[in-house]
Amino acid sequence: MKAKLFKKATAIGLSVLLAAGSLTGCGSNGASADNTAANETVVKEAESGTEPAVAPEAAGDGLVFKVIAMNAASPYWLSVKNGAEKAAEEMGSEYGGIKIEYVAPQEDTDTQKQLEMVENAISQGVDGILIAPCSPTVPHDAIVEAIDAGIKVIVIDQYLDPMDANGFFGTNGVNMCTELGEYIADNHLDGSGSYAEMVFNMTSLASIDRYNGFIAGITGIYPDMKDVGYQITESDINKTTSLVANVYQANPDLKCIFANNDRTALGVLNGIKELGIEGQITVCAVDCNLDLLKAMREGTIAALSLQMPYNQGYEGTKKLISLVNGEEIEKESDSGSFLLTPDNMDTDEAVAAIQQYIDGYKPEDSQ
Amino acid sequence: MNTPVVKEKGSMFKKVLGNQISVVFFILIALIIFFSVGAKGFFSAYNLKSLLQQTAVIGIITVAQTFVIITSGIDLSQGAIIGLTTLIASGMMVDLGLPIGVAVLAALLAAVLVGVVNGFFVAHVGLPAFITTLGTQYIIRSIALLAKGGNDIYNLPPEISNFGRGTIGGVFPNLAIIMIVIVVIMHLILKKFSFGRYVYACGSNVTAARFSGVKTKKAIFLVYVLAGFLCGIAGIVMMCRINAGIAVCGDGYEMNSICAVVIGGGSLFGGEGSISGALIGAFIMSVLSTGLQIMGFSTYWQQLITGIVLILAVMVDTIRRRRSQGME
Repeated sequence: MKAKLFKKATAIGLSVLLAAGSLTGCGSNGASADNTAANETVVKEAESGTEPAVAPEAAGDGLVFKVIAMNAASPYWLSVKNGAEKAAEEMGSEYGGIKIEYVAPQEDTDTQKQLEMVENAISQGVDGILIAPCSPTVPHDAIVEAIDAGIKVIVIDQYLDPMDANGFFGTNGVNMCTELGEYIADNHLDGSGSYAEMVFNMTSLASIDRYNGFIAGITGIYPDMKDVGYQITESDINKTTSLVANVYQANPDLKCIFANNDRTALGVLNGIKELGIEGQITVCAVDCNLDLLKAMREGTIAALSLQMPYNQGYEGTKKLISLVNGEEIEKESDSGSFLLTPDNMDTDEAVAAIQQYIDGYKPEDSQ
Repeated sequence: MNTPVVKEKGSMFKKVLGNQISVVFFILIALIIFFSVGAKGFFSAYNLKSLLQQTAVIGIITVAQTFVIITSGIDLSQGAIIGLTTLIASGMMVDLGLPIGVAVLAALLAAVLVGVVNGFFVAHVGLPAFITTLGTQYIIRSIALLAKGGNDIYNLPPEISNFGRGTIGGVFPNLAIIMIVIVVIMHLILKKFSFGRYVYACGSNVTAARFSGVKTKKAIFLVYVLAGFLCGIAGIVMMCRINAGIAVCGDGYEMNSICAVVIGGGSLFGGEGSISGALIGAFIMSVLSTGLQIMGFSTYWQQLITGIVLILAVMVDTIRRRRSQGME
């Protein structure tokens, strides 16, 4: 019986030890992997014997920035992370290393989880937070709390309402889609016929800005071309498909359709294929995926406006560094965009822009 | 002569270590100590406060899931009920301008209704709980999305976020206090009331329970209604926390509550489980998630480690069962 008891105790003890062991094991591995950059720079400084140019408040263990994305799965957010890590690597040596800690909820619907991530970053006492809010308001109060606690916060990609972070660095949807509208008007339209917009909603600023930008681009060149108005797609591919049929039947002179996100664009392509009017209607859209790129190669899509998540991570991190140094930064700025067309889609610059959406993309992937 | 002494020792041992609750409690304490030492900022007033706050929603739905799992059922509609509740309550306040109390009551009523539907199909029609609640999950989520065309509701009355971020005495978050009150009441119901005994009886052996005079259909029906009501409260707590009505804000939360119940000693075969164990399970998940974040782990590591802990907890439980069966 005693032997049995002993065995039982060992079994339970071992399991607990295993649990603790796996935690500490992962802990040291993870930490050492993350700290490699920091350690290397420390070693380099020690070897070269130069005085490290460290800002007084940044001296010591280096800086820790938390990058909080909208979800853990999409390559779009990995581009933000890669950009942030690149900036940290380039600038880290001046600050005794910059550690980028990347977290994101499983799904961008889990707004509470993202809120927790901001709160936990405050508990941790990080130096800066780069966040793409899942919702314009949910993390707002926690972000204000973080700033009160002395943490610098840059909001990227989606607007925070009200904009109380230290800075905003995201796509200017109006600029991006004005450029797109102008390109389409110049290259594909002659002022005759009509055009329509498919928007994923009319409540989010991102959607409204893109819509307004596109109209500004077209009307800047053809002020009298007929706009048949927008349809709300809710990013639903099936719904968009039938909306396209409705709009086309009501407006046989339709020349151009603008889709303001990728899922809407897929619905537009479906609709046009079902109607058998490929080639008659110029399609352009915001964002990309492999199906849209294939359609561009086939000639069904005339242009795509790509956002620059890598740039958001890279420049956003640089802005955090400036803020930590006590420098002023522009309160709101445009992270830029790339206008992808059939003519430029195989250039290095275009491939790099596409890789922000599709990890490891190569031109032959869309053939 | 020796036998009684050994037996005595065995039962002592059983009480201290052979009990899943004390094992998971030990794991929770070990994790807290581990993170307090290893994660700078973990053992701070701010973090302990936010840890309590972060566990409120999960804690409440874990209590609901405990009842359901003890009857050998499962409730997959929890996350959808949370979303629906936030949307109804905030819609009534913002779009219709109704008072907070009316909006909250209406949202709770809707949550109870979902519970009634779940309970009716599981207890009275005899459909599997997994299928029934998966079906209601889809239906409710669709209704919540259709109601506002997928849009979120913002600009809630300031009382909501004030309450959501508020504390009593600067230490105990309001939302955590709601959770604690629910935990205490539901623990008493499960342990001290005949209804609680019926719930266990339905899960252990439903036929035997019926023959011994338990109205099993009624008991199981009431468990789902109660679960719906508790998820409604969790939805209100969620709304106060995120200060918004979002149809999809609770998606996937049912998986966390199922995890918490299982870590806390609940058996998916029914008849076993306790509120205290499940609550410890919920706290283990929160502490892990918070602690790992503060230590600077990326999201991918966090999921890996949470998965390992879940399997280890169930493994410890399985070993315990096998041993105690071997002894008897």
